[in-house]
Amino acid sequence: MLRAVNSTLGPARAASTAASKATKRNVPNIVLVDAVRTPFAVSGTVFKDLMAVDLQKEAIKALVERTNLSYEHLDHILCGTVIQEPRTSNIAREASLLAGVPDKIPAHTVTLACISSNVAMTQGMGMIATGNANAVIAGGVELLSDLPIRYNKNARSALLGFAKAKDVPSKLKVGTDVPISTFKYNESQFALFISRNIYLIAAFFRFVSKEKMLRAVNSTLGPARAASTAASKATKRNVPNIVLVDAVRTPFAVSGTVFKDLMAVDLQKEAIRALIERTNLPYEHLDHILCGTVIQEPRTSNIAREASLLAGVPDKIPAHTVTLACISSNVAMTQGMGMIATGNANAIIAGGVELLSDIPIRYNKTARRALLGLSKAKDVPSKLKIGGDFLKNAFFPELPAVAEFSSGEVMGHSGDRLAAAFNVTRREQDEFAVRSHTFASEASKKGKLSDVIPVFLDGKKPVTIKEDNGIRVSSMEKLSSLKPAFIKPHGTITAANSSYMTDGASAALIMTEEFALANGYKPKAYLRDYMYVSQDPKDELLLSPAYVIPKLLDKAGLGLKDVDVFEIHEAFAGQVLANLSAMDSEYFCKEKMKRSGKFGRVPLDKLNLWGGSLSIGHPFGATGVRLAIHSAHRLKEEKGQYAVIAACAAGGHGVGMLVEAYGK
Amino acid sequence: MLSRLFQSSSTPLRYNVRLFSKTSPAMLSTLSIEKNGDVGIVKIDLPKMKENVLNRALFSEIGTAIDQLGADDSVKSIVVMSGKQNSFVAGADIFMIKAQTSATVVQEMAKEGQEQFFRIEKTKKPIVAAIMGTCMGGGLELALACHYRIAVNDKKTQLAFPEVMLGLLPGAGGTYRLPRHVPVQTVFDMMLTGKKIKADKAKKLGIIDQVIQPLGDGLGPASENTHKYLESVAVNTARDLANGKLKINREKKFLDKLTHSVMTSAFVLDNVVLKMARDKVLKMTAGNYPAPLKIMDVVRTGYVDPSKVVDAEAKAFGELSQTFQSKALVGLFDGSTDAKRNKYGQGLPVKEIAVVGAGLMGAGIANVSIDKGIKSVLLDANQAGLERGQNQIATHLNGQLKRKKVSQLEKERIYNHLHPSIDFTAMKNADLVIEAVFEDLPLKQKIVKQIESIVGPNTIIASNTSALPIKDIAAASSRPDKVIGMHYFSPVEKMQLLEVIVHEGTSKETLATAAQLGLKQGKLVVVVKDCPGFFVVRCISPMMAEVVRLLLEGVSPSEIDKITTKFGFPVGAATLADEVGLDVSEHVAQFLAKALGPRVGGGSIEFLTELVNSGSKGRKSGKGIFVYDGKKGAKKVNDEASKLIQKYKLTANSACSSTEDRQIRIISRFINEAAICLQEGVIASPSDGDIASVFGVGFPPFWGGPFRFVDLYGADKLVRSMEKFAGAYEAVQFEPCQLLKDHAKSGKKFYN
Repeated sequence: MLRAVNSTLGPARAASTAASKATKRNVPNIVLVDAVRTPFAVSGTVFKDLMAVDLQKEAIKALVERTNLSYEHLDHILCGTVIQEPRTSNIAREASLLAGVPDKIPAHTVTLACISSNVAMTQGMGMIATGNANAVIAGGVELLSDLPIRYNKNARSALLGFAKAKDVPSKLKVGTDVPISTFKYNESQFALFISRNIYLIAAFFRFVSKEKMLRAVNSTLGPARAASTAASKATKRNVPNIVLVDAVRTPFAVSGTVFKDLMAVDLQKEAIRALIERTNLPYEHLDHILCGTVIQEPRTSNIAREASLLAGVPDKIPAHTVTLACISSNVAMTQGMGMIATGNANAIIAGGVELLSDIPIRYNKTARRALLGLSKAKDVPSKLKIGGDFLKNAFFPELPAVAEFSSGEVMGHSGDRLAAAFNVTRREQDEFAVRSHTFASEASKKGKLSDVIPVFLDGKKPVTIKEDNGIRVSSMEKLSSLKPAFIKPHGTITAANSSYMTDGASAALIMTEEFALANGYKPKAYLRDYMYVSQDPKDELLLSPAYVIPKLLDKAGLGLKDVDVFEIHEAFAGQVLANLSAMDSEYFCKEKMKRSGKFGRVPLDKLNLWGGSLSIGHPFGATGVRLAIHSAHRLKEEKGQYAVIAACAAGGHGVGMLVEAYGK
Repeated sequence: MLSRLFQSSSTPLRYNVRLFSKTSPAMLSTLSIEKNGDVGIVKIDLPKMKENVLNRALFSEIGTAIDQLGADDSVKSIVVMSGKQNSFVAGADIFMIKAQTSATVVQEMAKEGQEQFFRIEKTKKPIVAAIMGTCMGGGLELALACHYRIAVNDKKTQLAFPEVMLGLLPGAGGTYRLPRHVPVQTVFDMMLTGKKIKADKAKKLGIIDQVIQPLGDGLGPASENTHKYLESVAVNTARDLANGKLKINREKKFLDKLTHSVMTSAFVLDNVVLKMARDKVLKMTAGNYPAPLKIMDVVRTGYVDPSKVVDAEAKAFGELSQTFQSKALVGLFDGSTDAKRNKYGQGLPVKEIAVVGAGLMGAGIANVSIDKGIKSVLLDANQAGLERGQNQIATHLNGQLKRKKVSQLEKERIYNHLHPSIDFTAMKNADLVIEAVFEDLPLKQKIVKQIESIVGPNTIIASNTSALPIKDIAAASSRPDKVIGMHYFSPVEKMQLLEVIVHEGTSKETLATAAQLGLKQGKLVVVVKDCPGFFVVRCISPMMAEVVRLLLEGVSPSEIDKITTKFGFPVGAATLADEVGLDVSEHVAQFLAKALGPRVGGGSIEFLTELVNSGSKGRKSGKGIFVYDGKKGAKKVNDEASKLIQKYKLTANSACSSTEDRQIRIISRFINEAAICLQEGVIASPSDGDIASVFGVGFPPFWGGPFRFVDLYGADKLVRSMEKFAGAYEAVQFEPCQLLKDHAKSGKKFYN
């Protein structure tokens, strides 16, 4: 295979001649308008009772006020952070809502250790360069006065298992595991953690809470989300054609099953390694790796980096992590596209992972504070007091909130209310769930799910996991006999018509068409455009596909009929159907989407024909890449031209992506 | 809340037995009957009214509708709901009760209502109440008469028994149906305070069976969606109840059952529960309010002698309806409804305000503005003062967050409207600036000039002064037509009254704008003409002068507190003086003595001056008339005050020193000044004066305010007492004004 580096434009990091590259790519001049920060305070002092989100909120609020920024001018918010507070996984979103930023402005979070807010800035620049934003706020925060000190793994899995334990003996077993493990943890894990803390605190020293802001404005072109005339903008900006070369994913497994003893980083590693193998990618061609994830494993805050190192990627290739709830790997892809568009990369890997078999069950705040204070306590009485505080609180864990931070509502409740607001019946939802499982099962049997790579698990009983294990075609009778899972007794969402907790990882190789052709890659599809939307995180939490699909198609100058393939993320059957109804509702399109009339109904015979998140599963951080590669593969199989990806995410977010068949 | 809305022509007012025959649905004017398969739906929807109220027509029609559906074999179950999205049933039509002058007639009306609700309760087919919007008083009683209750968990859907606030009791089954669902403490908590309960709380308490979370926008607007959803859930629930799929299970936990049976046994009830409740009520009301006591009696009957409770409730309802307390409270309700209405035309839009001075008042004003979504710039001359004000607001909001009145996001969204600054130019975009600096005319004039140098030409300048004439403040202004007084009461977050003061040059537009802002802030707005002390302070000042005279006559401060609380003031007069601040009282007394002459005098001002100079300024300085050392127990009199009382001692006139004499001496000074204000046109109506007195200084609510008091007590009787006092003291201080004399002579009343 021809792998000669032959291009007018070398990779950004390769050459010292890169100075003029940006100009060649016709990237607009990007400016820093102003930036503010909160005072930086030594951890454990004045800010110790706050949450990180409070500090980030203050910085955003002050920046908006100081620059007199009109919200109509703002397109996106990015914030960097290292240690994730489990209640605010996408801290950028929660902080901007608290700061009074309208819910229509999307926000996502990035992680790259001590240069996380640099990533926020440069990724924002990418959005501007690709014409997807005119102005962004880029920020960052760290609050090291509080750290997610967890129970050890035995205690965590015991606590997670408690809900599943049906009979008394198994409950008792779980019940005893927790206290025993709690104390074990004190001996072993605690020491480990303290040493880690010391490292972190030392590293950050006075940068305890750091916030930087970039607001860059580029005036040559209108903002992406503003106009429907934007169709040809990408060309105008002279952004190169960007292609999806290939993508793979591990099997998606029901949480608590086959992958339950792994760490998320293991799964992400598998995906990256397999992708590199499948595409025969020489590392010299790779410029950057981005991974999406939602629930951070505290030991691998920048999971992209740890996974790529484990996968054997040379340490010279930088990697960072992004978080935007269920569309995190879409963010990884689109931010990678931004890097390519600005000439800062020729080829990137975008992936994502979620391992919900394990979640960071923390000691409660008093216990955490006691542990953090222990090293500072000098004399015996104060050590005893701290010890007492810890013991009193050791048995009251803090579970990661399933509820939305801003509204306090669990997603299933919101989904149930959404289905009701669009008059989606229980039967319709159950039928849609059966459809999803049926399609997934067929696709799997016919070998269409070629994006799945095998994962070998060693140990006493070595096994290779080759397929998704959550696809299960059941009868309507069985489905309709289930009780509602969230709103009782009159709700319509059940365990069977919602997506389930899933473990899995994915990775995609993305590059410019020029670079691909020059180096002998066979692209599978063009990644033409993307768009982020957001709205009310309570009543419209899961309604983004309805908002983004019409907008994205308007921007591309396409109509509903021009699209051959739809891949819409299935959080709940009721949510998908509600979104379809919203686009087909005269009232909703006029009043809420400010269109002249209804947009129309996405035809079911183009939608999720290989199953969706309901059946295949939904590892939050990994789903976006699956949607992309399924679109590409389906375009080929169904001989279509355009595919649209749409997904909703916590925080009231959503993404739309336009994919075009390659070589058609 | 009980509605005062007048009935439309289709809902006849006159008292008349059985207006509608049981079989003529064509005559149904207050509700409609629909069918969804085998479920009958009764939709209450009073035409041309914002809220549904239970009037005679509705009482009778709902019974008729239930009978009709009960007799229809194709109907297996029934849903009772409202056709309106904002109101299930807001309560009984207060007009229907107000118009009656006989206890027995009202008792008969209550009986009739009870009967209609028994018809509902005794229906064999399951009846589901589907509640969205206000569900109070008679509305809640209707819901309780149904067999199953579903309610929407939104802010507008509130359940309550507010009858006690009108001097009444729930008269259509509430006193015996609520106790079936909740513990006796909750029964009293709801019925004796009138507190409003949201659906999720009501579910926890056991009042309702099922909660529905409101929907957002969907195929239709949010509230329409939710209303339809409620209907479909209620219909399915009713159907499931009829076919046995759903069983009503209100089985309480063993411990709860045990507690319940102990608490409601006659012995414990009488000796513990009721005793405690009665003690508390008597302590809070000084026995001035008959309704709470009657409620306890009737509820007790329900527990110990259930067969008699139905009649007892109706009888008590009839009796209470004719008490003067109830009439006064109903009058007050009417007055406050009126004070919530915008009668002042369309003002300029106010999107942003500025408050100068971040003290208790200034921060309070900003607080009640930001939570209504008005951007508020809070200014103070120094950082420490500003932070104190900011913290007052933050503390208040955190309290609301803790009590789950607001969510975290709502709290932040409110707080984001606050823009604290020590840079006065931050007010430059304000549509209205309120100054709340110290009560000092030159200072206020200086501030007005400063404000004008910053803001645009259309900005209105309001002064939150309690006594300084607005025209004097406006004299410093280059645009006096845009200067107005907005007198808030402390603490602003709690006190409902706002006096809006217009001086002669204030433009109509300025008044409309200020009043509109006050209404938006949730205040009861009373417009007052510019005069020294305006209305409230002007009336309270002579009253306080009389309190000082009593002190100097040797009446102990605690005795003064006792006789004034007994009279019905929520806070005793001596304590009130300390709360307000003796320095403030002294300042106002000096000022008003100059402006209005000896009429407003009484005890010597020198006494106050000397006391204040000794450092006893009231509660804020730790001592005033009493000592405030943070210790519990009976309040101690301040030694310095005692010494000065000796120094300025007066001899009491034994002919004017009975408890009632003393009470009337205090109150008549207030009333006379109020009547002079009405005479002079300072206030526009007796109702305005009553609202301002009750909500501004706590004039006893069961007397309804000074003017209602005159009507109820008798102008002639009052004038006679005053004439007696006039002979004994400085005559001008007790000389009844012409208006009072006229009323005494003619027997005319302020209210018809």
